[in-house]
Amino acid sequence: MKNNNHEHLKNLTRGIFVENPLFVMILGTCPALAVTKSLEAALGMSILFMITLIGSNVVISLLKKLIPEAIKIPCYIVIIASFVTVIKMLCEAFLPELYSTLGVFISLIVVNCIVLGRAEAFANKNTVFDSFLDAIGMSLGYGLALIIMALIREIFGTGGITMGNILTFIPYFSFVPLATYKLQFFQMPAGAFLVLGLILAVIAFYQNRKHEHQLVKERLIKQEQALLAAQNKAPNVEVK
Amino acid sequence: MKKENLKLYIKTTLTLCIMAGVSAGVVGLVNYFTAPTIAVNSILREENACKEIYSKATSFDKEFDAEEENSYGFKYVTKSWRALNGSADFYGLVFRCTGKNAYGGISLIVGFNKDYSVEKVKVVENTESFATTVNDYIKTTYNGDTTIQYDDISNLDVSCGATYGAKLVRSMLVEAGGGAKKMMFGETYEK
Repeated sequence: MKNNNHEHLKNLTRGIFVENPLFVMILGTCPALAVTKSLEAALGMSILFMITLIGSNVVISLLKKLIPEAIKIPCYIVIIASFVTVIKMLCEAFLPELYSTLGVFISLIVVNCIVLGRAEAFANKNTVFDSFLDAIGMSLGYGLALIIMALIREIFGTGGITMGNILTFIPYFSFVPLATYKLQFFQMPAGAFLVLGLILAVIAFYQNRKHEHQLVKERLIKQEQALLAAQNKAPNVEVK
Repeated sequence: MKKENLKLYIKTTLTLCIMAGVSAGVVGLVNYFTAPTIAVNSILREENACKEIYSKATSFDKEFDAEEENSYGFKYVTKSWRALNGSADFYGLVFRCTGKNAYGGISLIVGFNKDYSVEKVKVVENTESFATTVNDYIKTTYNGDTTIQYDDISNLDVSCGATYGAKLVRSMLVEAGGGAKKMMFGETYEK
């Protein structure tokens, strides 16, 4: 039971940190570069992405035994495309500002590698509950990555944060204390590439440092073991 | 054909058919419920854009609707309204234009003043892959401080990083401007 819970927790948290789709697996970069101009757009994209991924993962996991091996990819595409179309229509009807801001990138969720990747690599082989947890973890991880990028780009690009323009259910709020020092570059595509590159560089730096620490630790343990072995082998010489 | 193979083919065909049928049903059902709201949203967007273009106008009377009759033979213009105020002062004509190219589609509302100058251009829907660039181009070129006359539109520079989108916008405005000339000079207004 305890082991099972541990497995569930692992499925949930894996996508957030260890296998973060954007920062670790470098998947779904196209929408990440395009929709992270503002925090609101990133938040909206994260919500839509989460609904699509949870829906498709659960349905694919439910139907995994019914779908013949030869046609599984076309079937997955049909399921994912249906979810995206439904979400797109609901978004157009009830969140028109978000729909016009994200534009073509809502439809492009269909071809997002993360959604199809999770369907093929996880939902296809695991239980419905595990697929559900995996989808939550992965979409939280992707959403977190989008929000981090959007925060950096919006603060540097506009000089602050504005909410309530796109996600109309959030009360309007604008805090732009650094408007005079804004760097328009961060709002442009090149700025998106730079921000993503810098975040990846920071992650790589910490990962490398961790790896180096691990290597040093292993080397020290080996040296210690070798020293102990040498001491045990050495003949006991009494010095008079 | 072997019996086993036939079974596999039938199973595959049935699975695909059921999948496609269920998907189509779900999409159709959602469309049935959301289509009226989407239509209302579109009308609201149109109305807001018209009000933003001619803020002093109190009413926008329908002048032309391509769905009813396209006597002008327009390719992009789908609707047009007369911007009036309470005392029937005429400000100009407002056009809704919709066009498509290989990169997506653009729907916009443009106002033409009585002297055939562009009052403002408002984008209602932009599904172009370079939507932001096209929107920025419209903002700087047509909604800037310089007044643009109808005759100058066809000579405007479209190099902006989304040339095809900008060309589409230019074509739509040329057609709308031509329509404004016909409607204002023609039978509709001079009488």
